[in-house]
Amino acid sequence: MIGPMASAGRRPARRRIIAALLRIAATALAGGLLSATMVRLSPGFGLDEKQLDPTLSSATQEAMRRSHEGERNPLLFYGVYLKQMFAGNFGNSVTFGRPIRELLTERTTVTAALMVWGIAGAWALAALLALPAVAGHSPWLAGVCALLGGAPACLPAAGVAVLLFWLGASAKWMIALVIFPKVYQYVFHLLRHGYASPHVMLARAKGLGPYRILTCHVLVPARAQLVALAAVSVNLAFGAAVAVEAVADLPGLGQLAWKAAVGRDLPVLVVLTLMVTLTTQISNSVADLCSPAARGAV
Amino acid sequence: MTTPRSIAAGLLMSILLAVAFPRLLTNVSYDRQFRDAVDAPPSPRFPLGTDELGRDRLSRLLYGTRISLLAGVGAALLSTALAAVVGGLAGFLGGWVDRCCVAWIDLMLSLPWLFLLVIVRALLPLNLSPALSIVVTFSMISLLGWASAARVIRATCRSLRDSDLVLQARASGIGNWRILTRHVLPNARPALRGQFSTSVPIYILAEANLGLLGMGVSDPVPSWGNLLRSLERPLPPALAAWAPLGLMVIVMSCLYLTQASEVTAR
Repeated sequence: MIGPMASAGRRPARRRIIAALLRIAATALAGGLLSATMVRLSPGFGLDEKQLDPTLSSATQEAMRRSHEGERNPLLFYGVYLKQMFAGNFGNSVTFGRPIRELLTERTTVTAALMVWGIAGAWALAALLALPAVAGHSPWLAGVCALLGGAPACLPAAGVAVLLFWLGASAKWMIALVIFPKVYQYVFHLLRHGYASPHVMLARAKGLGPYRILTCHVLVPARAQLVALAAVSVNLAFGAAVAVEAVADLPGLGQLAWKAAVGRDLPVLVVLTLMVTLTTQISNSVADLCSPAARGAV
Repeated sequence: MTTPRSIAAGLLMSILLAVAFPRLLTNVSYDRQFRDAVDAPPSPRFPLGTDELGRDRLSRLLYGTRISLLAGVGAALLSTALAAVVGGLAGFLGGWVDRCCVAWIDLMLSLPWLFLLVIVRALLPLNLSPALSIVVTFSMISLLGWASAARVIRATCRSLRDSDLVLQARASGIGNWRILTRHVLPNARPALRGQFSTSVPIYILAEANLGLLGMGVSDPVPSWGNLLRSLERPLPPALAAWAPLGLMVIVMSCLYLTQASEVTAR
């Protein structure tokens, strides 16, 4: 009885995982197609100022005009490009005049390091402020923490980056400070909710220490939400990286996205959109799988 | 209302009054250049000093706040209307309409907001007239910012679809369109209002972000984006601090009031 029952229980789980993978792939592909279509429809696409150069022969100008022929139909371009991409050829960047694979290899490490440090810094800052605000039982302390936690959210990401740039802070701290207010808000509410729950009051009444209450009775029940927040942090960190890398002139993926968008670099934008959509979808799905509720369902 | 919220409401009201009647505080136009007073420090003639082109900072701050607030409210209205249409149809009709709308919403939400804004804005012409650049920037922000609101409104409409009032309306033979417009969306008004008030500060910040990256409202029309661009030059704090401080006060007041209205609604 156990065997068939177990396999019957496993089947929907497998189906759910396959459905999640298909959804991730479909969303990423749709994201890539969306960016290809947007670039194709943007005014001035396919025009090159070099075409106005009177010293170039008509044959050269015709060749330049024809170089964008393959990109006229976004669906056709996207199909051909995906086929090339799966074969390992990401094409060349129009703006940088270099293979996209090289650009991605160089810049992914820069952005990944920034994002990891930024997320870690934001979480550390959020925990440092939210814990005394919730566990301190002082309205003044809570007010000061709320003010400190909310202040960076009142400035644009690029503004925070510029201010920190003048203060001599590193880009890691710029990203940390940009995403910190959002992380702080969630962490604060989760902790407040956790500390107000009846089982924590009972634990307090039984005389458990604050460290044990926090680790065993507040953080453990909130782990599903914290994992989900970690997944959201990835999305937030990439958004922050665009502004920070543009302001601090750092050669990362954010700056690549900015320069590619300004230069209407279709292949780079398609690859970046695919990458970003995939990263977000995968981090969200991993958070779903890691959450106890989802595991219980599986 | 508690004290911080009263302070927020008071600050926002005074700012609204100041930007509604800027002539009470300054007689100088925001684009008038005083070439004899470039980068001038604060003085009785120019209370907040002048910028690198000799324009009065106070006047630019007042007019910039007015434009960003008005356009932010307009953009929030448009995006909430879009969210009501998409979220309302998805939640109320269900089935394949719901699945398509959810996929669209998921796609929009899986791209980081700033990444999407920068890409789309850069694809639009950058050399626009100042008035057109305001329209383009804020329309784009609202057209890209409806997804999270649509998700909330879809959930609200979905729960309303299964409610007794809709069941009764259906039993009375009322058509889908009439039920949606007369019974479902009016009952989703608190959610719509909440999404609208949350969107206003977010959109003002989004324009400021784009402006700082050189993709926002074009000069000489002032907006928070191009007011904050002065931070890119090393300036004494007496000159540089006004724009970020003003923006912080406005956004913080909006956030406090939004929280207050949410608490009241609950």
